[in-house]
Amino acid sequence: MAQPTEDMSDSEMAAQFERIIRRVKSSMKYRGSYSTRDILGSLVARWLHSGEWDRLKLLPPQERHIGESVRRFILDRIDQLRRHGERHELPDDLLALPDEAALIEMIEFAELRAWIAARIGELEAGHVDPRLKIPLVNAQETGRALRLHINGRTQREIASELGISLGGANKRIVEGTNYLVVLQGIEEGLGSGA
Amino acid sequence: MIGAPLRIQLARIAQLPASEWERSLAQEFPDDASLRMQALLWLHAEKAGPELEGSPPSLGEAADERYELALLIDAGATASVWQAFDRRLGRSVAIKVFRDHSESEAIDQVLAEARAASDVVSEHVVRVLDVQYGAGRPYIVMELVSEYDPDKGDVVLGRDASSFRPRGVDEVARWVMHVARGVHEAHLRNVFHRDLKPKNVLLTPNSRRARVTDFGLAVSGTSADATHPAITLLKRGPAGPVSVRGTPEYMAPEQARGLPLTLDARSAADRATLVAIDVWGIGAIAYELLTGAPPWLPRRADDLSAWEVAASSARPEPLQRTRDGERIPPRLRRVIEKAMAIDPGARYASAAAVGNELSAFLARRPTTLDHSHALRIGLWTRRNPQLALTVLVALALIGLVGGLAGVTRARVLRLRGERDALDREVAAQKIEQTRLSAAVTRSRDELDDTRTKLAHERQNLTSLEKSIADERSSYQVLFEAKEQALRTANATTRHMLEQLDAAHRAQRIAQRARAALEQTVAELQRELDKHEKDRERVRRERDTVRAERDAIRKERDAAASARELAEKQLGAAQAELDRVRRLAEPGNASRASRK
Repeated sequence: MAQPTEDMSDSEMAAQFERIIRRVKSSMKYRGSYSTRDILGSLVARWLHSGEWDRLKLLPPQERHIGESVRRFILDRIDQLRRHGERHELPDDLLALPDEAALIEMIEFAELRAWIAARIGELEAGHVDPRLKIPLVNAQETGRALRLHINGRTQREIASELGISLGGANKRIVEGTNYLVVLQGIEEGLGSGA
Repeated sequence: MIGAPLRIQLARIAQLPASEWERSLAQEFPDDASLRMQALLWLHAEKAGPELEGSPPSLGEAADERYELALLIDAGATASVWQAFDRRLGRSVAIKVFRDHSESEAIDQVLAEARAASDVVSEHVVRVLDVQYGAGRPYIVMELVSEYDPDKGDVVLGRDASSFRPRGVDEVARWVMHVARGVHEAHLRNVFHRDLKPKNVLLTPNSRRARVTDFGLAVSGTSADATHPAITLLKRGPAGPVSVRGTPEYMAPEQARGLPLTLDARSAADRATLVAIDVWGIGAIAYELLTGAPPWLPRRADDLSAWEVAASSARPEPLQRTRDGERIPPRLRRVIEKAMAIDPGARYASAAAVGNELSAFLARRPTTLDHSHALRIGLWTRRNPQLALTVLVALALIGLVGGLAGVTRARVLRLRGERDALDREVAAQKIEQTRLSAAVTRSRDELDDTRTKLAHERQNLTSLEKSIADERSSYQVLFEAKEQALRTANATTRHMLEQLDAAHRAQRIAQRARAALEQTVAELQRELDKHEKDRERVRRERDTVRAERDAIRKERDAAASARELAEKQLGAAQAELDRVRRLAEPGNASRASRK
């Protein structure tokens, strides 16, 4: 994860901006139809929630063996799943995971999705992160609009459900997305005042 | 936090070119570096914000000239669908605009979907009109599902089936039949959808017909699954790696467990696998439209996602009632359950078979699962009510005319006999009624006589009471004057004896009257018992007789009381007479005078 420095060039900063915005936006997209990548992503998210990642993060990078941990977790999960039906012996080479870099990217995405879901929950409860210096109008409504947005509702449906105009719904979604992007930037050290 | 003015400042800066933002922010907020950074990130985020209705994306210069994007219809993870106007052909179309234009995966997906859908020509499948990739964002131009609404005076867009509420079980069956026919048309052209769900079924707003859309995960003879780069998840022995595609809530179990990457629509074995998946999908659409819920849902208690439930050996919740509480007809339920059999081999062999079954269900014809003869006859009757009625009437007539002719003659004779017997019985009843009327009249006359006699008795008793009173005063006089008293007593005794005789006579008359009355009542009772059926009419008269009898009894009782009283008085008078006699004897008289 790139950390900003005093002498960060404009192009580097623009690249970091672009990366943050792209990651936040793609994490907020509703996925109706799944591909194998999404299924694997959901399993990685489960692995993340198991607390294993928090434990591994305390270790030096060379001792983490993320791929092995994820592989073992998924195999256990599938084994557990199959106990509902017929039993199969699961050989170790049953699972072919992507390489370590792709896996780390998936983990980051899973983390980001969980982070976004938590922030939206806070907004729904009317809580705005105090580090943000740009005011957010009607945090609760913004939170509800974002929740519906990530659940795959169209903007018309969101407007209808919230009882506001289409323009109002659009505005809430844009503001909410901007809020999440800026907060993510702050998490990465941009504009945190540190 | 700075208030609303900050938002106004940001809005003003946002109007400037992006290259000016940093300089402008430095001028506006010279002392707050963190605010400047946050504001810069906010402005960049807003510039690259989510696709909004009213701010359509650009398709490239040439496409923008031809197509005017107007309204965002739907937005998904990889693409958004817009209502657009084709200026060249002067018609409305739907355009699916893909987000990523640089990745080869996206191009492959666009081409695969466009090729798959364009191969299928069916009134139940949304047609693909054009595809564009290369410069600008890739997009697919499709037929716009819409209809003119005379009530609104405007063209109304179709909506996906998940946002429509069916009017009943039959409408669900009709929609799913359309879907099955559209899917079968696709199968005939070697195109397999693999992502059938209510969201991918569009319904026309007025005629309410269903059309299949979104062939984004389709596999076809010209576009094998291998063209979709997929992460290998599970290796399955000699079959090699598998991929999982579809929507977890609607996946066939074998689809959720993963399909070989080498699936080839041209191979007969693989075709059977792909058909079975789409047949499941057709069943899954029916399942959700009926119950309001997809076949697979996450199981929170077991911490299982929808995909994991689908991949396990679980079975969907049994179909019982619709979301409105309506009972799902067993015939329809059997069809859906067969389409959604866990074992792919137990499902219908084709989508057309599902369509035919639903067509049979809607036409009240037996499906291949309706084996019961009674059910088949019942369905035929419902299908041909007039014919069934005609047959029923004809059978009844034949039975009457043929088999029952002799019985009818005998029955007529028997009925005539019964009628004559009833006539006779009615005549007898009339005679009996006349006799009863005469008896009642007689009883009334006798009762009148008895009343008169009792009145006389009453007068006699009154006079008797007066006589006793006189006797009492005479007794006083007699006590004072013995001779006079004795004579008076004798006379009185004689008179009393006469009165007693009269009372005895009156009693005997009353007893005779009572005996006669009791005899009459007994007769009436016997007659009444014999004629139960006429009781209702006679009851009033009998009640009258009873009332009169009761009155007579009261009078008789009163007469008896009077007789008792008279007897008492007679006893007292007799005692007094005896005493007077003793006093009147000569010896007693001289003793009395000496004293």
